[in-house]
Amino acid sequence: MAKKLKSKRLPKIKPINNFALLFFLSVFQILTSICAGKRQDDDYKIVVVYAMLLFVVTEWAYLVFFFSALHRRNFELEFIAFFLCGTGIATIGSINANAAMKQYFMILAGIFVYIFMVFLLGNVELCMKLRTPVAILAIALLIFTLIFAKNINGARNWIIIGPKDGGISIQPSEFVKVAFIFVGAATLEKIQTSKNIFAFIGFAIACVGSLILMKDMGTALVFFITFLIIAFMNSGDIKTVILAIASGGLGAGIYLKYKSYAKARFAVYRHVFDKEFYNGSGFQASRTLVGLASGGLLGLGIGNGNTRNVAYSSTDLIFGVICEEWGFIFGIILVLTFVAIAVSAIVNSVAARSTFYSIAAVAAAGMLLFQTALNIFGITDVLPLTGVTLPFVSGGGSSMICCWGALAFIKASDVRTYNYLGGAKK
Amino acid sequence: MKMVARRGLFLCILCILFLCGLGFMTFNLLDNGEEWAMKPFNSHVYQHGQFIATGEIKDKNGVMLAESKDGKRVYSEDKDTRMSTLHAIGNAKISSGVQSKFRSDFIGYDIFTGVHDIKKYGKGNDMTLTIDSKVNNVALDALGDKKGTIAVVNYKTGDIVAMVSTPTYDINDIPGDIETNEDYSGVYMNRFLQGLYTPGSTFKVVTSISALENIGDSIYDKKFKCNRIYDVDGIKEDNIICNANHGTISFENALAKSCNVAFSKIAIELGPKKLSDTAKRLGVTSPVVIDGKLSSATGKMPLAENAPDALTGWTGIGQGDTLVTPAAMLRIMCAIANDGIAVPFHIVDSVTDQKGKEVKLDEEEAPAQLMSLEVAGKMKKLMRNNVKKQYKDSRYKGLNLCAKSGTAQIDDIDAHNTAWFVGFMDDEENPYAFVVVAEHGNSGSQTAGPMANKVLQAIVKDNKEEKDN
Repeated sequence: MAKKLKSKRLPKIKPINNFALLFFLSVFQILTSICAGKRQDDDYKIVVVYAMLLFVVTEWAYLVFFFSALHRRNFELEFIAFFLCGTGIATIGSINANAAMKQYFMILAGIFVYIFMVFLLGNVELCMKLRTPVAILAIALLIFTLIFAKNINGARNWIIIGPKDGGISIQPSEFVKVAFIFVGAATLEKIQTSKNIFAFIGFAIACVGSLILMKDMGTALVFFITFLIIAFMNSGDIKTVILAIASGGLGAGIYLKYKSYAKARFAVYRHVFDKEFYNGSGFQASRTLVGLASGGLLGLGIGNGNTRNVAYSSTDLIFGVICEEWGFIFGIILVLTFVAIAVSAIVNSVAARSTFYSIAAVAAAGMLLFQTALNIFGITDVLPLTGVTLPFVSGGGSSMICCWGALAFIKASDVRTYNYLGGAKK
Repeated sequence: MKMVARRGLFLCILCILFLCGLGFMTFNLLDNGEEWAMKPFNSHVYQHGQFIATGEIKDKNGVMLAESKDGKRVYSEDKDTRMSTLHAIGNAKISSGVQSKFRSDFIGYDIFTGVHDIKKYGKGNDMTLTIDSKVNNVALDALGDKKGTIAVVNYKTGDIVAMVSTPTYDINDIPGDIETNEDYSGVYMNRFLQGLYTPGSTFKVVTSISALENIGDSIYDKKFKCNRIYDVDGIKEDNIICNANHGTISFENALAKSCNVAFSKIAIELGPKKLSDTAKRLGVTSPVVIDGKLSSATGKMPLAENAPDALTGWTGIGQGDTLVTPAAMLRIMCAIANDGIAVPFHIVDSVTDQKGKEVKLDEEEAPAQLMSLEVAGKMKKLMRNNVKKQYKDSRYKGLNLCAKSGTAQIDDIDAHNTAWFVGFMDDEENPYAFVVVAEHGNSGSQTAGPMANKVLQAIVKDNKEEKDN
């Protein structure tokens, strides 16, 4: 495109017409929402269509504003996220119509966080200054959760604000994910003293340690992998060794803490159809696989599956619901978009304006991809089940906001993002 | 910057691992999809523990045997038909029927559309069986109140025309005392496939084949001395006792008269190894698999290579520790009738989906050459001779029957004997082999023989009427 890239051998690709693309996406999303509103032996749930229409309006508003006011021309990442979120609205709405509207507002909040973060990340100096406050805030949030969530539910890391029914439930660890990438990338961007790296290791141990105490193995693993990515993005001298040792220590810590838990997970792993498991700890995975098989490659149609009736079908098992009803091929396409995000992060990291952007983008993309892997492979028995959500698609506010926040890092690493007068004009 | 890019490698590896995971997941689905879709907890195909994806089941003449109506399984309107086809069709208790064993054919699972068609039509594929319910009813009537089985197979095609097992019951009116009444013991078992019986004199067919193969034609010239009691090794308990004092008797007559002394002598001459090798090759100890899915029990013939003569002798007349299924015995009959070649058995004639399109079935196994053409020809003559000389054609009019009876002793009471009658019609128009087993039948030729006659006459009459029309 317009910005001169170092390589001259780049083939000439006709720029994609963003408006045409969004038009097709909108049509697809509205059609799916119309299907999703239809329920067996029940009234038509028009609220699903309303939620989707609101979302489509939001999409267009975003495109028009950033295209005309800020002259941006790169919308690939947003379109991918729109695609994923729209699929989420339709699927969640087909399971529980009222949840569709809630999901829309969560996405809207996510988009605002995204816009804010892209704006913030444009100022590297400010980011560096914010590094320590964010780290302290993140740890404080985790400690707060640890104390507060224990009183409500010892095993989960949820905090409920407001009345018990109808209150907003928040997963603070999701916000800490974004902070973790931010702090990690900002700390290692300039490694002048070994103090910096130890500070980051300390921060990582504090984060993973809190999650271990919260007994959230899936999120702890996501943090750990993100930590590894950030560590390896760093320079390759003695500090890397220290990082590697610290990683090993963290890994061992996770293992020791979850020994009995992990053992139980591995016992059912690859045995979900065994007599002793298929109605017990292998319930979710066995039902998901049966759903996958029942749906076949083309799917049974929205609303016709059975996976929707299993607990957590709109969060952990949403990939299973989509595969059964929208078809396995669609499910594969859906998750392949995370590979596309990762590839764009890798490409961006080469040409990014600063190491901060490179590290943050790759770490964020790795986090999203790894969490996707844990989710879809966990429920299909390719990996042991850990119980994390599918980014952008699963229902839930905190994780939705985290995903948009993570996407902001990748967006920021794209040289076209802050080149306000760039795009087609040059 | 370059350093950083190179270290982005970690994410590249993650991407590749992710793609591998997707590949593995896809492979798993393609490989196991059918099995997963058939899981009993898949409510697309099971509801309230009932398999709902079964379409209509008809007999070969289009008679309705089972269908789904309003989510319920409905069986034939005729009580006799319900009872005679009970084991062939099967139900929740009788898992060896086509409804259970051919579930994958009923589902007609398609990896592209999954179970879409079952949801659309509310049922799976329809199936036509090779069974003729009319013949089945005759067979049920022939068995009377005896426990046992009658099966008839077209030895040219392998199609099972009749398969009845008794005791049976009416699925629409299940007897209240079915679990406790002795009359219903083993009622959920298809005796044709799962029944393991002492073969008695029918095993002399196996011994004869072994003799023809290993001793050759000189067996016809041999004379055997029968004084009713054959003292093998000086131990009284081992003595082989014949049904009569046959004096000096030839091989041919020994088979016709079912002379125990002659055949135990032949078995001892052959030795345990040759005898069990032949039996093994004839499939006495291997299960009969119908359409690749419906499998019989496995026969047993524990005859060690160094077995004492007495045991070899007893085994040679079918009274050792040998146990066979009627299905395995029928397969041997089919091979003798069909020039030594056993055509695999079928019970499924065709499967059609709800759009009326025929569904391809699994590839069948290849026909097996159980014995040479010559041996088969000789056995056919010997068995024809049995009927001419012993069982009498007058009792089996117009059947051109080749047969062997058996009266297997279970204990010291004659009434407890298992009655066997096996054989085939040597008739191009009616290429059918049969097996009849009647528990507590006293005598093979007296009890089981007339049962076979009844069924075969019905088949011949039917075929003739069909031709005349």
